[in-house]
Amino acid sequence: MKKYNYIVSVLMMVLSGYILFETGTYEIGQSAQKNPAVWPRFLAIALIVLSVVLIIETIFSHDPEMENFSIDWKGPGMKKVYMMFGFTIGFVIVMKILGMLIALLLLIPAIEWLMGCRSRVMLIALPVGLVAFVYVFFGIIMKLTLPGPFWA
Amino acid sequence: MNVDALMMAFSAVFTPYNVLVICGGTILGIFIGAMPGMSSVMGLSIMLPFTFQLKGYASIMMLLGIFCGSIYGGSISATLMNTPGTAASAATCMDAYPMAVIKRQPGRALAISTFSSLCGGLFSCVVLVFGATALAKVALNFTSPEYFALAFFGISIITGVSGKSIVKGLMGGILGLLFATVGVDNFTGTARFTFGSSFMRGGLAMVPILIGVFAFAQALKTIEEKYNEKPFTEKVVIERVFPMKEDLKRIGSTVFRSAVLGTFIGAVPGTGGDIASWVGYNEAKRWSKHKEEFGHGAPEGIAGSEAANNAIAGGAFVPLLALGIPGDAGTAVMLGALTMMGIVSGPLLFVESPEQAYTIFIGLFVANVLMGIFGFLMIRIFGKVINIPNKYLVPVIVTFCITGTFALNRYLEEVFLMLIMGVIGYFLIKLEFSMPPVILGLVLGTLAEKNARRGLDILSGTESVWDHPIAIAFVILGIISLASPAISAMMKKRKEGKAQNTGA
Repeated sequence: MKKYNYIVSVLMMVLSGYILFETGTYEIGQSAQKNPAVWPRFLAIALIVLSVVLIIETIFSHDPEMENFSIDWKGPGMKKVYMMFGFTIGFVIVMKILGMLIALLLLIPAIEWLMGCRSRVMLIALPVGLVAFVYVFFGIIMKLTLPGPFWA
Repeated sequence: MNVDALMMAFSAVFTPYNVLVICGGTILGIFIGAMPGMSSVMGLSIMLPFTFQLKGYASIMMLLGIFCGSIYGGSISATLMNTPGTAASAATCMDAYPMAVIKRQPGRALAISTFSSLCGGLFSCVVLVFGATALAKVALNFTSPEYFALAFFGISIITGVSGKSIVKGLMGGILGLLFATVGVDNFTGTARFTFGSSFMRGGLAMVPILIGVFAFAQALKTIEEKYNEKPFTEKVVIERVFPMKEDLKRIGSTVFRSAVLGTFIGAVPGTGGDIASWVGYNEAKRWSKHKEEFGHGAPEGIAGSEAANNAIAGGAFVPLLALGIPGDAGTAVMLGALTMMGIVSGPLLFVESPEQAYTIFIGLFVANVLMGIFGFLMIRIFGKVINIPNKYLVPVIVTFCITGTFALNRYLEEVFLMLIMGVIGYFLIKLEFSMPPVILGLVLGTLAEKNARRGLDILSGTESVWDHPIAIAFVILGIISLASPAISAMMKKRKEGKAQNTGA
């Protein structure tokens, strides 16, 4: 965890630096109410202080849990999550082209398969049932216009 | 008490439509709580956009039903599968599972748990009515410095919900506060952190972030940890649905004690059902004449934990309604929902719209009663339905995350925001960040900033900080709250040191 704590601290400092830079471009009035930068700057400074505290805490910590903690970025579980990221990006692209219902029809069985489902019946029945529910509940009962295909 | 407002509240709650909605919300909440992997906060977040489609007070009624039902529902899987549906039910496993499985009395265990949950929930509702009203009267004199101090106190509870690292909890809280600064500044009209996007000018919508960090991130975590998980296959036969007279006699005092403790703990911001249930369980053991039965199916153990964790529902609403600060992650979601429905919680709620406050009191009371009724009625079917495999549950959660987010404002950008926040939330969870601080920061961000800036102007004028003793008191309370984990760790170390010296 020590390595990740250092990375987190640096990332938070970079974020704080950006906030301080961005708020430097704002037009600032005389009072606090006319100063849109005062609050974000205060938060950015607090974040820098906390980042420093986290670094110091990590350096001086002898907690065995912190010493031994590691994340297996290449483990089978993580690979499933990376695949899910891919499915999510795919879903967004398909939704833009073919609409939400068709995108869901593809996403749901993909997640089922990812979770270890190999039953053909469930790989078909669950997406069809869920998409039918979404269509009836949102499209018909709530009269919500779901994102459709690009040609519609 | 304003009788006219009370009558209006009664007529608002007791319409067939609203009662039906509370019934639906309560049943849904029980199932959400009963399913391991779905928490009360996750259920509230996913259902939030759907409830906005309901008319009038129905949306808040449904959320109250889900809130109460899900706290109770956690005890069902704790009893039957030794897997707490929610963190608040972990203590229930200690005795409910041995009674259900080793003693083969699942009906008895569920009946005791349902009865205790019902009593705890109803007791806390009564306290809520008097507690919130009294607290609101005091809070009516608040000005900007007091409100800022109050928001600071609300944010200070982050240390209580920080998980393993307080520093990371505070960082998460600041991230939440920063999310709340995105968009056009209310005082000056300056666009902040919008990157030129017109979508961002309106600010980051709260619900997509809630759904992203609580539901979608959790779904990603479930994918990582529970893919190929084998479902629980043991068949459960329920022999009874109501508690026996002997059990009622045995648990009576425990239920009352735990209800009082749970309500008090719930009313202290930063605590929650998990703390309440363990305190209730420990006190039940301390006062029991049958200490040797604890861990082997003691009725007092189940009652102590369940009465306490359900009592936090009413308790947590006291600061939420009277002061406008949420007591825990669940009430943070409720605060977001109330705000989006135009109900501004805080002391003025009791003056300007008392009927809204009373409607929430009555709704919570009804939700607790229905939780008890459905709990007893559905005990027999719980054993059959709680075990939906994650391979089917995760796609359902993801579908509801997407469609629910879209249904809220019909912006595809909000769906993208939810997905992005879910991925960020997932990595933050992996790095041992806790999500409730992020949400607390987001929810309290606007209140904190607005009053901090106004307060600074007031204090730089004719008024001094000493003219605001209540604000000073809240700031001191906030500092104590921030420092309390460090203080308690130091005290624990000192105690351990003393014990070692005595032993030597």
